[in-house]
Amino acid sequence: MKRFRLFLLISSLLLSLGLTLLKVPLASSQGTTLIASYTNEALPLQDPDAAAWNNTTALEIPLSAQMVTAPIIRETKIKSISVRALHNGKQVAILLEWTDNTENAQSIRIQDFPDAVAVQFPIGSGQPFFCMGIQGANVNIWHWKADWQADLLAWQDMQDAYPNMRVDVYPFAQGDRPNPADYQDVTYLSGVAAENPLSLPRLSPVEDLVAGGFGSLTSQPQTSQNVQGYGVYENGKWRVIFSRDLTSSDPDDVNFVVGDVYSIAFAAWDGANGERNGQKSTSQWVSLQFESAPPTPLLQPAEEENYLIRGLTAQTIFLMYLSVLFVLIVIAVIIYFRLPKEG
Amino acid sequence: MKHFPLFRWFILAVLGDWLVTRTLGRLAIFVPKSPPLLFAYKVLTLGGQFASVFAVVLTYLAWIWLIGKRWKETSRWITLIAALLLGVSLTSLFIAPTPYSLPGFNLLTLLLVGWLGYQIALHIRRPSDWGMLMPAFALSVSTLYLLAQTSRYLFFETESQKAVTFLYHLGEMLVVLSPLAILVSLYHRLPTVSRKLNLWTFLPSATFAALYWFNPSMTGILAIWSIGISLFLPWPLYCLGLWAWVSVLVAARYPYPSLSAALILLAAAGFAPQLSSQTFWGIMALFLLQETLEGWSASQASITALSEQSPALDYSRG
Repeated sequence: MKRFRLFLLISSLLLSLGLTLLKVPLASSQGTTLIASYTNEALPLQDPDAAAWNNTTALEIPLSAQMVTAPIIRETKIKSISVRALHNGKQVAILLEWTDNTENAQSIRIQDFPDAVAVQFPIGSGQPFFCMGIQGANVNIWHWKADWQADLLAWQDMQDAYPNMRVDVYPFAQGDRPNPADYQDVTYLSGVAAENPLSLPRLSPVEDLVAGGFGSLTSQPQTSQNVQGYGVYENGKWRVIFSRDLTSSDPDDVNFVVGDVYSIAFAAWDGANGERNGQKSTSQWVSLQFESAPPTPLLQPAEEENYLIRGLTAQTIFLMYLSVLFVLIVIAVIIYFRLPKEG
Repeated sequence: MKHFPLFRWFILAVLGDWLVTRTLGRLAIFVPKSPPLLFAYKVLTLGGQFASVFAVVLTYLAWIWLIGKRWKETSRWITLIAALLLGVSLTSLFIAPTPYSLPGFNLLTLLLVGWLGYQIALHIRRPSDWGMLMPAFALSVSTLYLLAQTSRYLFFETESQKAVTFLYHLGEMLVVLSPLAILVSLYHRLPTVSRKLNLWTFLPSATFAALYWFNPSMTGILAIWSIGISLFLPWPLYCLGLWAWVSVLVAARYPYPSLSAALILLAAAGFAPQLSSQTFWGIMALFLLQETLEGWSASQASITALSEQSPALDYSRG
């Protein structure tokens, strides 16, 4: 019995050690590193159905309600988000997918809030506080908003929320409803004159922000708004793609180097649940690793070895799970036959 | 359960997963980290990940062992439910759980917890022993809460949160009361327990109180990640619960090791657990409580027999 116990202990320890080192977790059924896979083609910046996304492994990120600072919604609706990332050595694209029963892409009425999602990166080294960073350790935030995207596709105004409303006259309007193109003279556009980011013409559905703690969230100047985004709502599911060049000259932007590991965190808002600003679901920091470009044929043997250790393919992980299952079944059979007989 | 060949290792691994991965590791988010500290946390995380994987491997082994043992001793449909739970958990390693498999898993868990609660109740010989049933109530409400959460959108049109929130709060209250109720039961079985309640048993409660006073929101987040409770009750109650938990753990360590192990498993399982391995720990804790009560009722039976043989002597005084 003593030898059997020792055998059981050593085999369990070895199995656990192997699974830990190979990053095949049993407890959460997934790893905590998001691999931005390399592709030598153009990134699918506006196509969440593109075949290229199938070449990278999705990571399911659990989200929970932001509970640190008021106002708080204890029961936020978005419980998890699926993330995939690709890069081609010049640009990075991150695809986020989550379930949402309602599409909220309008924020015209004061009681309406849009669906939204954001990714966050520390600007310096280390990991600052996961909710908006801390003073002295800023974070770069990319915030995609469903209403901004809807505005880009077709400008929304009061008539879209209240179709039966009547207005006597809109000064300067060319038709029977106002159009941003009709308003060019900033003398009459105080928001634009003050460079209020909510009044400025939108170039992207993503707002590029910087923060260093609660209450410090700041939109970057319009000349620094360099993140693109594209979202699709289909069959009760949002799919949003963020994209940007790997490097940026802006001091408030994160810069990516292929082969390095970064921290990334996520937040999501369900507008139908009244979620906005700090009332949201957030994740903890997750690692984001940029896969190196495939080796040249001359270097292939050595490089290929590294690649196998670092970026396990789905098939490898599946085979590992199968072997774990096999070992468990064998041990179960051994235990069963070693049980004391009845009577 | 305590006869599982690697029982001590299993409890140690569960402790590692709970205290390192889910408590100490999570504390990292509140610490602004310099590169050396970040490295230290990476090492800690790796250690915690190993403990988590080891704990899960041993959990599967212990569960298989339990099924094999109970197959010969208990009614087979209960063992079948335990096997089904294991099947769902293992399948989820390969295939992502469907929206229907989660309520199914919760329903099976509820059946098993209910049966275990009934088994515990069958072994109660004294009124003070009813306290041992409290964890089964807490686990039942916790599972009901999960069942309500997972089935609400599938089977009901309503998005009403009231019933779900009520279950959550009720369950959390039972979780806090459980160690206090067990302490009362233990005190009646082992009056010398009061000698073990020295200053050290108050230390974790005092630390919790200090943390709460220093930063309530941080303590709240740590509590929900570590044990799954939201701290909606007045904080002294949590201090009291923590003190009772430590007291039972210390006092029952030698006379009733199964009871101490059950408390560790209950804490590590947490309230409304998110992982199947944590659900298994909660159920295993109930098996251990059942074993403890079996031992108590057996000793009670022998005391009664001795008293009947020599009525002049009071054996129950020890």
